[in-house]
Amino acid sequence: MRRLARAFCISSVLFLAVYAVAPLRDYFQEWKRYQKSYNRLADEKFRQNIPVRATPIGIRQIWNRDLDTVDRCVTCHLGVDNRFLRDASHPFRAHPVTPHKIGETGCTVCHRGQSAATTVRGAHGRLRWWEDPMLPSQYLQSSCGQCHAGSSVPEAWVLNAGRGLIETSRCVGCHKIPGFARREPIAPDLDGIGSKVRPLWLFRWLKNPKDYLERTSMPDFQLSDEQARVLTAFLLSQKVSVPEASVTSDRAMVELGQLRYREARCISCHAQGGRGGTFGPDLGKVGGKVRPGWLESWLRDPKALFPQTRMPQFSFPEKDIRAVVAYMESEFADSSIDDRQEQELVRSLPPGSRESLAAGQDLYHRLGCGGCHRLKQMEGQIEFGPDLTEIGNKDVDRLDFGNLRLERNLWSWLFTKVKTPRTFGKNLKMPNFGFSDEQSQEIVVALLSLSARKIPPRYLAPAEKVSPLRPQGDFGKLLKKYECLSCHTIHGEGGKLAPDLSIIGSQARPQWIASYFRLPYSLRPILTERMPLLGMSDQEIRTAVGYFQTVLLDDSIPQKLFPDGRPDAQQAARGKELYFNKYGCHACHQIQTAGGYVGPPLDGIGGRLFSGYVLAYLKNPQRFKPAVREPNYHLDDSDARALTAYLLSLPAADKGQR
Amino acid sequence: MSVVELKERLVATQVWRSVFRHRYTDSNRNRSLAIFSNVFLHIHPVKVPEKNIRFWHTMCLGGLSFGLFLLLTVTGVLLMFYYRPAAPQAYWDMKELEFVVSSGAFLRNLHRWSAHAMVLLVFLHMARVFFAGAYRPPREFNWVVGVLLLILTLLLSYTGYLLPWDQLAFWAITVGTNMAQAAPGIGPKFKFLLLGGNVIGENALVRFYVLHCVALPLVAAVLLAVHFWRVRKDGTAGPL
Repeated sequence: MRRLARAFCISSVLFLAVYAVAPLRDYFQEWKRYQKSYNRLADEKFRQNIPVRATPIGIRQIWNRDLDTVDRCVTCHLGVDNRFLRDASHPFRAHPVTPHKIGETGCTVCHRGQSAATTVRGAHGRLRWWEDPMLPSQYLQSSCGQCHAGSSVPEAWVLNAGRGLIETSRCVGCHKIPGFARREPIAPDLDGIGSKVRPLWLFRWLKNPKDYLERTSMPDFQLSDEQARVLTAFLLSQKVSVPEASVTSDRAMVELGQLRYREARCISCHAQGGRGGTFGPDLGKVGGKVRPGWLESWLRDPKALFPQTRMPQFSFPEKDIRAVVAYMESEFADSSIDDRQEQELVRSLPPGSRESLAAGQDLYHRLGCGGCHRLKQMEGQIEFGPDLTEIGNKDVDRLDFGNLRLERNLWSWLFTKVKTPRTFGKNLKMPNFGFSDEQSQEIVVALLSLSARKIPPRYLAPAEKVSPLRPQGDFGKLLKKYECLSCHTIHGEGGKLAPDLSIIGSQARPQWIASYFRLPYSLRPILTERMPLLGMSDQEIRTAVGYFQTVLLDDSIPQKLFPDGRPDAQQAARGKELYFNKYGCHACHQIQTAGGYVGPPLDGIGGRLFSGYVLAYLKNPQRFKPAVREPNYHLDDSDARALTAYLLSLPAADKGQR
Repeated sequence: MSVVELKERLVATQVWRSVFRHRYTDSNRNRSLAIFSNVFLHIHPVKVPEKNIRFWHTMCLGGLSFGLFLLLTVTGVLLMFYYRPAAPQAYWDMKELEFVVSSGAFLRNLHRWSAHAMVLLVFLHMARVFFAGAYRPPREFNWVVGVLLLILTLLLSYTGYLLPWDQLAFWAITVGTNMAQAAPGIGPKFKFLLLGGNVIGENALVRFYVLHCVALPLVAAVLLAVHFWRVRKDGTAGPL
């Protein structure tokens, strides 16, 4: 009995000791240590007269009712909102400047981690079964994308770049991605490809597109020789009727072709051997790629062969077309394509039997070619890759890491997938886009922004609205035919290569515009780039100029400043004085070849621009061209008028000096 | 007024006499009254032969199980102050207990480990009774009551499993209710009844919560009373 009593006694004491651990652990919690050390820091700062206040010991949190988050991060990160702690050491350092109010927004909505936790390991989410650890800094911008749509999110350059890459790489060809519409295919239509390209080129292209065109957005499908042959045979069977053409090597024709090629400024869009524009493909080796007959038809009317092409239609006469083709065939030959090899390849292709075509069709389907290209007989193929709608919150244990030794988290998996898509297993379909580390990271940031979190509408920042400019009728057709908006902008829509045309009707005189259409030249001596010679008909020029003069106007600019159309000679004289002595305009501008090279020459400017516009421009150049280098002198009205009068009185330049 | 006087006057009051209904004189009658007149003690016999309370007769397994039942009741009631049987609040309440409630993690761990221990001890208790042959008449009725209590213990443990509303809970209940579904005939209906629907959702959570905190403990308490009363009536089995 006594032994039992002693055992009971000892075990009671032991139990009591065990029970005592609980309140002790409760008392000595991690976060209390941090708060005490913060208070020591606060005392020290206070002695130096820096307003940092000690905190009462207790759990602190940010409750965001809208997002339904309770973030206890501020229990330890006490200085997060205090600008006097910018240089303090962690965990007390202040947050960098942000447009969001930290005390209202909270922390985990951007940084992830475990909001409820009050331990270091727990809060940072570095726990075995916690799915949502803190985002590493290089992926942080993904959180911006939860609320901010579009690819011009302020201060989120990585996210913007990633979204841009998703757009240009046409990920939506295979995947469903919210925020990215499945628009018209960007890659060429494949109807008639058999009449367009040479077999050997096609085979090599399918094997590795970047070999031929470094900048192509077509990914590498890592096809075997056999697969490439099957696909080549299938694609070559897609014919279209284009007249066969024989290339002339007549010297005069080649020279004429070269002249026309230069006049049309083909190089503005098409580089040759890496030098030139990037709108269209590099033409350096196009002779080994396309057949001359097809090239002729293409130059005659590109949109007949590929309606979505961004290439403008040049109105070349028939002879010029043959000349340009002759020039291109002689200038852009591809020495690596030789006829013997090509014949060998054609012999090794599977016969045009029904079975082999069906095999090609099947391969076309399985590779997802229809995601980017259009082929009439294969219409109707839609997204077949995984839906990426909520990929940013995908559970890690649902990802297949294969045999790879990777950190087990979502971002390292996504990074590896984007960079080397087929490393996780043998039967994966995604092709290799050849993204660099940096690009892969940008795409991962954009993907991580596809979150499953329900964002209240008032937090959402929609993408900038693009102006709904859709001119119809004759002018609309012209805009499409000559692809004006590839280079020019009208009311926020279009390219940035050439001047904004939004108010061109208030700026330039119609006669000058018409003559410029007939013979474009470079307005600034230091620029070699200029508008291509499109060969517009008189009727088309009248349509365009008429539209400019009735629609593309700014009513606040008077067209005619001087009642009788001629500037007052007295004013002009004062303007000349101002031009040379007070403002030194000749430092940048030329008059009769005298003056600087930065701005355009001002000879005959009265024949080009409306006087009202010149006046308005002089008063505030940046109003019309935000990035223009011309300084804003804040001219008063009389000075501005005098200068305008002087400029308008300038005669046109002597012939031949342009 | 001396202390002795004060004590005598206190003991003479009606309040005192209504609570302590007998004197302290060490007599057989007073000893019996001490047991009989106390609701907590009356389940014990007035006198027990020393050989009957040897440790190895019972190994205190039944008593320990009951002790854990009491502990679970107390910690369970305390936990109920912090817990909402709703999705997804239930899970966040677990996190609150872990991170911000004073000694919350301790409370929760105590409840969980006691529950595991209770299942183990009840099994051992049953094994001990079996090997001691204590299921034989006249104790066959109490054996059956004991088996019912074992089932109740398991059900309490199972229904409590869903309440944290985490992955472990979800899948354990998925497996469990699918097993119930496999019962011939009534299986699918029974699963529907258990879950209050076809999938594990908030309805299931409320059902399991009520079963765990109210229905099953009440039934267990009644059966425990019957169980103890039968032990008292049938006497201990004694050594084999």
